[in-house]
Amino acid sequence: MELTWNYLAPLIFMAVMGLALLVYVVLDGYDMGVGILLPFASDGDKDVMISSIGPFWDANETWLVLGVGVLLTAFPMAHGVVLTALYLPVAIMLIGLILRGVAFDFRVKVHINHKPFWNRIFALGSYIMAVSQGWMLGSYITGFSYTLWPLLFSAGIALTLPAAYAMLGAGWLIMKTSDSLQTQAAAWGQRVLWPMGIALAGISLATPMVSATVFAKWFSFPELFALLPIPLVCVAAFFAIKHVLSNPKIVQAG
Amino acid sequence: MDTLILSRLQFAANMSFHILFPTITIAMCWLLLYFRLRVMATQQGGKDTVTSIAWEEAYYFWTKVFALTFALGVVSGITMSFQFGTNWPGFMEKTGNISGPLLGYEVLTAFFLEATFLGIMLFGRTRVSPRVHLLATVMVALGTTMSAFWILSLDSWMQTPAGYEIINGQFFAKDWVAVIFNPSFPYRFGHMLLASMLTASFLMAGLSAWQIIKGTATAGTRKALHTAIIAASIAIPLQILLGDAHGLNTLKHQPAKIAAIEGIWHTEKGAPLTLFGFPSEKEKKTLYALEIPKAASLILLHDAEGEIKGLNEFEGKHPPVAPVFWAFRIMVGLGFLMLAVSWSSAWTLLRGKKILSKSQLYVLAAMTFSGWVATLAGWYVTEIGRQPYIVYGLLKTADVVTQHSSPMVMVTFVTYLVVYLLLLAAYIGVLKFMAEHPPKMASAEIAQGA
Repeated sequence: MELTWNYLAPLIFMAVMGLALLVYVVLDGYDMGVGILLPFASDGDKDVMISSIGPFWDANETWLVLGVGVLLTAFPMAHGVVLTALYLPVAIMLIGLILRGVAFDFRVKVHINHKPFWNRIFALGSYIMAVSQGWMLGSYITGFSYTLWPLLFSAGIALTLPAAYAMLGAGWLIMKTSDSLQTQAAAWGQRVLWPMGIALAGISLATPMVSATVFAKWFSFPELFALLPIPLVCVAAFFAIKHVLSNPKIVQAG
Repeated sequence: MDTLILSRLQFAANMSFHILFPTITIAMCWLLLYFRLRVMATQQGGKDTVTSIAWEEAYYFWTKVFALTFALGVVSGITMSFQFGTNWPGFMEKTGNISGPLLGYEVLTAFFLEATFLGIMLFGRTRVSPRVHLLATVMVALGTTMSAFWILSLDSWMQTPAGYEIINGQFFAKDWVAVIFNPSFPYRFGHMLLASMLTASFLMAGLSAWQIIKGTATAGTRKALHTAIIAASIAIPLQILLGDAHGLNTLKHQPAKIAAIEGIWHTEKGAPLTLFGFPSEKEKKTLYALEIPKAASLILLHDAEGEIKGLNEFEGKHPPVAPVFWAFRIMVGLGFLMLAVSWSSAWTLLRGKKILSKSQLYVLAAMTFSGWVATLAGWYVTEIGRQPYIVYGLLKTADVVTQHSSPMVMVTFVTYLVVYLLLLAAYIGVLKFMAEHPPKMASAEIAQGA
């Protein structure tokens, strides 16, 4: 096939968009994770947790804007189609995003008595965002089909993604904090590890079942061998996390 | 209510809520840069003086206000970028080739510039050198202004489209320079930047006045108050002149909007200027009109006998008259009030009497959010005035709206509205709280002076 601009441009923009979303999920994932873990921390630790993400959250969220920006710029038609199909979850996610973003600033500027309220809003916003993003991912994979199995599938991802973000958040806290909060973060990590692992595995298995496109990609030769390292690496990563979290010495090393 | 009107209301609510915050931050950032420069200029040999500490206090307090405002602007702005797709899919489908890149530039250049350097500006004061910190402040100021540049370019293009061609109902850019610098863009961009300067300085002056009234003022409060009053007194005459030029430009490109603004129902020579009245679309006249004979022709055409086209020439193609008519009068009325207040305050300050009277302080405090009202009124004039088109004269708003059921849009509209009203109340409440309990600057930061 001839490599013309018309052939390459969509691929390049698709790659940029994919990269933006990947970076977004990892970066905003850890700060959403910190928000998800917030209700379980003591008041003193809450301040430390939020200040650990303070300088970064805004830049992290910019990746989402980049993803949508590229979708808007390079694929204006798809922007209309995808966002129309995801009308409600997008609106819900945006409410979460608004609440979370403003709670950051309000909590340190209001009267001290109102601080717990904004802490709760911050956590609530993080949960809303994580759940709605999971739901959107699910409906995207299933091609926006609204029958029983795809809906259950989307619900499954909606409930898993917060666990995955919580894991990222716990990892961030282990890296950035010390002493009791660090130990606490390791404990949180251990607690969400199995739910996350089981759910991720379940979803990886369910994806080819609900999506014919994915099925065709995964279970044909020789693609299967090219793709096989992905689940293997995931399994290895899972047990590496398990090992690290249960070993206090490694945790303390950050 | 149908999906169209609900989508428009929802979008208007989002836009109105969003614009409140950039309107403050665009210009406030330049004021903060000025504070920063004053700190450096009033230090002696790198050591703090009484004056430089006062400027530092002003910078410190208003950076906090800026950060809060910026956060609200960011989150409501992200909401906007999604709503083009969720509520106006037809707009992206048909004009995507033009609006996509313009929105993209806004996001890519400005957003990254702002969001990245803001971190340094807010958290890096004691971690980076004063020079780097100053640079970060400059970058944030540039970023917010560039953000405004691109978004106003797109908005102006929707008002006065240029440099495009239409193939099979789709817009394509033929000449990007003509698209970006379309006929109404320079006026609108200048008008918005000055509106921002006025909003930011009246907020700064009002809140500072409130601090003096409440006895919570610091040395920095007076610096902020004086800076804001001077900035407003310079910006307001410029804004009035530019507003007039903008009006003439609108007459040339969007005569129906002018007819609605002025309440001119039938084409006439020597048209009177209606100061007040109640426009009635049913009777096609303005009831109880208070008029100045021939003044509209004189202002718009610089000719007392000039002919102005009336709404009768634009049957089915003109905006609803009453909201445009009223919003315009609110904007202009506030503009002249701002002129009176800022000049009289500046007069007191410059005459050598450095202290504003109690009543002057109360007037300023009462006008803390006057910039918001004027800016919103101005946007309503221009955006409602564009109806029934989304791209003036070419594409109707009704043709690009989403196909969602109206209950669905109703649910999201009400939810957004509740969240926005709560946040607005919280924002104003927090500003008041901050003014009455000014955050103490850590002594380490004063000592560092950076």
